[in-house]
Amino acid sequence: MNGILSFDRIERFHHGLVGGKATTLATLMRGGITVPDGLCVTTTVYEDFIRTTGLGTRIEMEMGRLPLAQMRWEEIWDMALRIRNLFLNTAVPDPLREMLASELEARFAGRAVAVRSSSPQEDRAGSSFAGLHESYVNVRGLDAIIEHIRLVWASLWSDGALLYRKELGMDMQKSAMAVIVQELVAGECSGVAFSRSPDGADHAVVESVYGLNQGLVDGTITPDHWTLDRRTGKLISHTPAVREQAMRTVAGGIALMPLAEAERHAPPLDEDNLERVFGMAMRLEKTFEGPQDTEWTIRGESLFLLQSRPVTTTQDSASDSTPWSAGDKRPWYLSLKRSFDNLKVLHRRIEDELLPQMAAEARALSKTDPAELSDAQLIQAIQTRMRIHRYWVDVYWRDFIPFAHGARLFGQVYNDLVKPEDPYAFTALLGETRMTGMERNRELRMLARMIRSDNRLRERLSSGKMDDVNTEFSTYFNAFLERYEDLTFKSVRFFKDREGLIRLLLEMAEHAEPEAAAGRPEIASLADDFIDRFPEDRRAFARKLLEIGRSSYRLRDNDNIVLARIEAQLLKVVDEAKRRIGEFDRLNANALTPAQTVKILSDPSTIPEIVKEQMTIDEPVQHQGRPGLATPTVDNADGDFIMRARQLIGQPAGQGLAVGKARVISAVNDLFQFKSGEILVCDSIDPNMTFVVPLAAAIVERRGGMLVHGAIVAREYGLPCVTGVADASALITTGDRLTVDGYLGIVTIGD
Amino acid sequence: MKDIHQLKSKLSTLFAEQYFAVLATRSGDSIHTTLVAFAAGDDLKTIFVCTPRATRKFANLKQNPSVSLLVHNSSNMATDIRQSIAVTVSGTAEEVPADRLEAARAVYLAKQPHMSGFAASPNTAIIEVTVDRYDVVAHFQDVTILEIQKNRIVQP
Repeated sequence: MNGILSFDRIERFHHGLVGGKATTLATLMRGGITVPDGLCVTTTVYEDFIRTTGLGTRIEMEMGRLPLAQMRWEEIWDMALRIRNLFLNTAVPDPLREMLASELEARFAGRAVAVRSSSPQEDRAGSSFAGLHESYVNVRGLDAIIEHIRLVWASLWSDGALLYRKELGMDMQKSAMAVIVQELVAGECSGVAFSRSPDGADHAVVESVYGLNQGLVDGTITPDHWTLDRRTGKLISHTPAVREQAMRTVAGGIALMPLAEAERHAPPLDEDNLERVFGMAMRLEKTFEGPQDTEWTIRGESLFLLQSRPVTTTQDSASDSTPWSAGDKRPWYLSLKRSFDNLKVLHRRIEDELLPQMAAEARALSKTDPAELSDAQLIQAIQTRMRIHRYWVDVYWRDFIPFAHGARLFGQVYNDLVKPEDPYAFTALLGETRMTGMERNRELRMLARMIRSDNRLRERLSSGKMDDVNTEFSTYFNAFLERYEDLTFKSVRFFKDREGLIRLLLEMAEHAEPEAAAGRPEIASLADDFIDRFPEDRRAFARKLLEIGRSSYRLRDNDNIVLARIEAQLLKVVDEAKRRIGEFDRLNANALTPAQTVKILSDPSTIPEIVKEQMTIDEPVQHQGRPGLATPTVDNADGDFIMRARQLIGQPAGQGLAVGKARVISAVNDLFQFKSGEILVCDSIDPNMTFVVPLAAAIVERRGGMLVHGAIVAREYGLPCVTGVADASALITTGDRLTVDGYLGIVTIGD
Repeated sequence: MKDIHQLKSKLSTLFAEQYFAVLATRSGDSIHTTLVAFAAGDDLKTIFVCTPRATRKFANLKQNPSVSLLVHNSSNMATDIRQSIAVTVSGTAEEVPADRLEAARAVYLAKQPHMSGFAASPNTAIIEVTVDRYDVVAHFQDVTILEIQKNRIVQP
């Protein structure tokens, strides 16, 4: 055998070679069920490919960087992106290519096919890889088919698949991928059928849309939904959808198309076909001795089965907590893949509705002067603002975080098309300086410039004579304070006192202005080059994707800042409440939570109770939702032995090399102490604190990922940056001499 | 790796698993490396090696007791660069004096029983390296230093 098996030659014992999906299809074909004809490129071809090209070793090296358990979801995504890029940049060797070519040519010769994953690990009872590995529809021509086989191979290492295999305790190194190449049946309608409902109820479910199945499976198109009695097939209920679009084949892929008028008014399945689909699902349940989750399509008179796998029952959703408040959020994060159409809707919602609403909300709240409120009004204001803040934190998790996938989707499309050596080359197209944080930094630079060019002003400010400075400076300075007074960091408002800001401005004025990152390719020409690579009729799609990618990239900064403005409005009333509560013996007024201030203000006799609460909780206020600074501790002494870190590894997130003293940021004050040329070390960079970045020589961040704030802002300024350095803020001490290698992702401590 | 207890237990495991180390000694400006069978003391403060006295390494360490050893668990696979651990031991070597010879030999032979003939030969010296520090390299470039503080009593 040459590594390829046609469906009619696949036996059950081939499972390890052809995977679950191919075994199932072959079994069904033999049992008389109509499936689109095809063949399977077995795991031996995959293994041959990764062995002869050396790719297998490179994957193992990539996997060896860090244990998966220690990785954040963004780091897992990054690793998957790098592995995918390795596949994209590794050509299929000639002998292998010739073998594939002769088989594929003989069978499909110019006809459209679907290229689908069929992993030996998927679709076994208890392990459904549904949607984790990739499949491609409407692929035509030898080169394109081989290209897509390579992409399906790469999807064995997708972020979701990696995490899933890890959870199931599967051996990563032994994973292999088989690929099904199958005639494409572009049906008039398609759908899914569950012989038993996945929610555990004792009935069958059929869902259907016009056109191809992809729009239904990825959630872009809402299907018509039928519930049927499992025993009799009797219809229990039909929920029609608002039918507007269908996924159909277009040159080079598939696209959403509007439905014809008649289709909008009629369900995609008539009664007879509903019965046929139900009948097939029940028959499959019998064949496989268990409830089945199937995909099907109907062309003309023929009902084709596309896929059948065991139903995986949805998890017990008894707890009412939101998925993003779970202990391990990584599965939720990695489930956030959004289709292009889905992102398009989210994009408009965020840019046109949510962000303006949030800004307006913060503005409206800022009109109230807390000092003028009576105690009762103040209590009410705190309660209202807690509710408002909570509401927007939820929006942040529900809409903003998933939208971050926009930048990733763009990156993937870009890499597939351009195949750059650097898998992050795409960020150059996304970078533009419309981030709120960058505007604030520009204004700070302008204030520093005023000081730099005016000795008298500098002297006045240095000797604390703020009242005696020229009016131009104080006008701008006050305007700045007013604009940014509501930025917060670790639940402290930044510019509560002016002194820290003046100290920082004086420090900025001492040094020449940092140059904008030099030698960066022109964004406009990069963007044009990207768009020109698409055929004429796909360029609108490319432009939209770029727009979404940029918006998503920008939002990673702006959403935090806008959310912080709302939080600041809450903190403003809470600060006023704390002021009124004043100092009491043993009560730490500063650490009071908003709810505690309400309690004390309403009834001062609760103070002893609150003191007790404060004593039992180590961590004071931790606002949920926004990244707070954990203070990791490291056990570094044992008897005569002393441990210290010499060299730490992370991810290279901004190219360049820098040497300087570390400034570890763990409180607002550390930021205002920042000296030019120091290296910013922190747990996670919050966009609200990036104003010291122009002074920094490099950035080191514990949180990993190429698209975290630290990495984004470092690239904006052309600074060396290493992210994903475990325990960075605990292992490095302010004043340590650091060498930051942003090419390799290495931080060296000491000389 | 960034917990001292974990780090020490990793070292103990590595020293128990690995039979060989590369020993570097120095004579003037020249460095000389040799493959040696070693054993580590339970407290991780000492490493024992054996050598015939008529060797260059023995002459070198007599002249300059400052030595270094490399212990690693690479198995000559390309992927080892990420997965293996390499430990550089820095310390001071001296021949074990007669009064502690039996104890040192016992530690050495517990790890290297097949070397009993070699270790018992009259011309073989048992060398004790008092460790100053370990440089532990994991994941290719992750370097942690484990130092042993010198709080020994200075003889008057």
